[in-house]
Amino acid sequence: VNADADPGAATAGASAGDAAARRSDQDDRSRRRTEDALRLSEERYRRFVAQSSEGIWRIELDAPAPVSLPPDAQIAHFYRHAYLAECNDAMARMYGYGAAGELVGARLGDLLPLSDPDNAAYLRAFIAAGYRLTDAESHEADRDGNPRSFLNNLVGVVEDGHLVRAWGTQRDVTERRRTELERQQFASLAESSGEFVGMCDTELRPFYVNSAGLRMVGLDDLEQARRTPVQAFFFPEDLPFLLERFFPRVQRDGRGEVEIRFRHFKTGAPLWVIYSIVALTDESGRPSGFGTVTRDITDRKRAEAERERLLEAERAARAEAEAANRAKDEFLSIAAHELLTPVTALKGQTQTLQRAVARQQVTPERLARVLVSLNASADRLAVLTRDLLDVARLRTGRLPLRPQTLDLAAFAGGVVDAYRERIGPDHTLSLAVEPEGGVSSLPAVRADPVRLEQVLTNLLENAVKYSPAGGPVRVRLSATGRRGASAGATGEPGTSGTPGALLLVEDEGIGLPPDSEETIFQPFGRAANAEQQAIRGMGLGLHICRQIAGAHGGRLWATSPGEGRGTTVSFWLPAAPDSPLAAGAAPEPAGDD
Amino acid sequence: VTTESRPPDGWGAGAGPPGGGPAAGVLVVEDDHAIREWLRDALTDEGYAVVAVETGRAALARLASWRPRLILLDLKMPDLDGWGFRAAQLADPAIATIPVVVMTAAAGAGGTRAEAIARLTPAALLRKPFDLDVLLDTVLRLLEGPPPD
Repeated sequence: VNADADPGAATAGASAGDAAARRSDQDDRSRRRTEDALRLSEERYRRFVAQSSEGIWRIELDAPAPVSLPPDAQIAHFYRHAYLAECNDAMARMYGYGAAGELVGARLGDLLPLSDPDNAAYLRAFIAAGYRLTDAESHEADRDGNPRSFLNNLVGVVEDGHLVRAWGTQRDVTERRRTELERQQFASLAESSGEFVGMCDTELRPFYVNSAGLRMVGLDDLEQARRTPVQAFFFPEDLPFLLERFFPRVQRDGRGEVEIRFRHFKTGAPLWVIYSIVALTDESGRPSGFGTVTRDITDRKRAEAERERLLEAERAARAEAEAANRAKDEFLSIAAHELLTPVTALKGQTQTLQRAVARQQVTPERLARVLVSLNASADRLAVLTRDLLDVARLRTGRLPLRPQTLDLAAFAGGVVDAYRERIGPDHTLSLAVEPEGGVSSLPAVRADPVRLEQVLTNLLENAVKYSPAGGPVRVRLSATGRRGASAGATGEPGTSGTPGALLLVEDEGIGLPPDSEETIFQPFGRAANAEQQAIRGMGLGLHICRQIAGAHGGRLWATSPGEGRGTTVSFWLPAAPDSPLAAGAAPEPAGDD
Repeated sequence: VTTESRPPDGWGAGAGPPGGGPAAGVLVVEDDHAIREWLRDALTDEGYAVVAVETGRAALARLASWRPRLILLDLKMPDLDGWGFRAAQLADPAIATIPVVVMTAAAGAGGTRAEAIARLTPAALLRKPFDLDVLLDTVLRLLEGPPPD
């Protein structure tokens, strides 16, 4: 820079002769050039200072501050003696003035209120750093007393152990600070909310989730949330709706709300929420993501589900009651039909006989035949009435039972022997206790002997009745609920593992059509093949037997390999509570594995 | 099982073939043994020629070779029931015109049940139990006049 020319050299040659005069002219020109250069440089500097958007200032101390003083004493000294000696218009405007001239001369305390402890700290940092600060924030006040925040770069000038002045630049960060503060307040508001507050970008990557939200869905921290795409917060089956319909609609309308389930990240449990979201935009209005305030309504949903469950239970109970009523009506209707049939025969045959007697048309043979028929109809009415009474009592649980502890093998033997007297030559009847010779392995049972005989007789009658071509009827007895017990072949769940006695009645008769194993236990339920072959029966016997078995804590069921291939009816009774075998103390059969 | 009876020789007082002609044929279709026996006795006593069968299928078989003047039909039967029999009968022009008396013990035979029975277009309906007089009056009324064809 030309301004660096030595002005002293020009002055030294001023007293010489012509040459000196010539030199002197040269010197004058040189000095003027130097002065011009200086003036130009100073103007450039002033223009720069005036036009700078940063505040540029110089502070002088009217009494220099000894740097040896303790920091707080120095600060007190600053406040007594420091004043603004120079600044630009930009700085004046930062304090609410129109031009630099209005601000110059202000004391330090006018700008940097001593009341703000941050300012003392700011000055202490200035001293501690050797009278030099970079990007330090000061909290000052404008001409109306409004707080302003500035970011400062400043340096002090120390001469002879005293701080004489400082100069620096400053930038107004008041707006930025206010925005930051507002943001902090919003953040603390979001943090203190009990609801899930979250934001994500347009790619559905979360960048903020409050702590209540993290807790709600079982995320450990914000870092984990940021690594978890929004899709993972939901159940997969809800994603097509969310991605294809809900988010596009929010993007279009700016907001949206839906009741949906979050999935807890740790337990996988569903959380019912009201998922309320808004589309976020950046300063230029472009979509920048989504924000949500989501409320957990799991409790409400649970209450709703509970209410729904109760309603459903009530509906089911009502339907069941109606079905029971219909079944009762149906039962009554069939029962009446069954009762009217023998009554029709009784009345008709009686009236016909009376008419024939009046006409003297009756032969002894005819009389005998009709009387047999009348007696059979009366028997049928009696049996039917007894069965209907049994059904009614069993239904209402009013069938009186007088249980005794019985040896089932001996009891069944007695019933079989008695029944053998009543069957024709086409059938054979046998009884076996399994395993071979294992009579003592059968547990005692508790049963009402009258009802037990009723069941066993009915099963034997059925076996004979439904094997019209004759054949063997086998009664087999075995123990259940112990290792080596032979139950399970006919597989009714819940019996083979329980101590008890199983009685099977097997025939080689007409068998059961597929799916009629249960039908035959319904009131008036009969297998189709029995009807087709015109085998008499009202369909009450097995129903009654099953009810009696149930009343004893036992079970009754039927199996058949198919039509024409025989039927096995299984009757299981639990071991008597005082039976030693019930307690599992029985000796194991030999060869047991 | 099919049982047939012919009017016995030597009618009792007041008995004889109605109308004085050859004994009119009556087919009884009833699965209950006692009722079947009663109807056969009662109608035979009155001079009708009675055939009694247990099922609708047996009735159709019998009708292939014999044309009665009247059919007494039970509804609830194994094999082919009264409904099935009536449908088959109406589908066969050779026997479709034989009048049918339906006998039923359906309790409270009202509502849909009664409508269903009406669709069978019976010549008469006898609700079990019914008296002998009612039976005989019904049969006599339906057989009055000359036989069809």
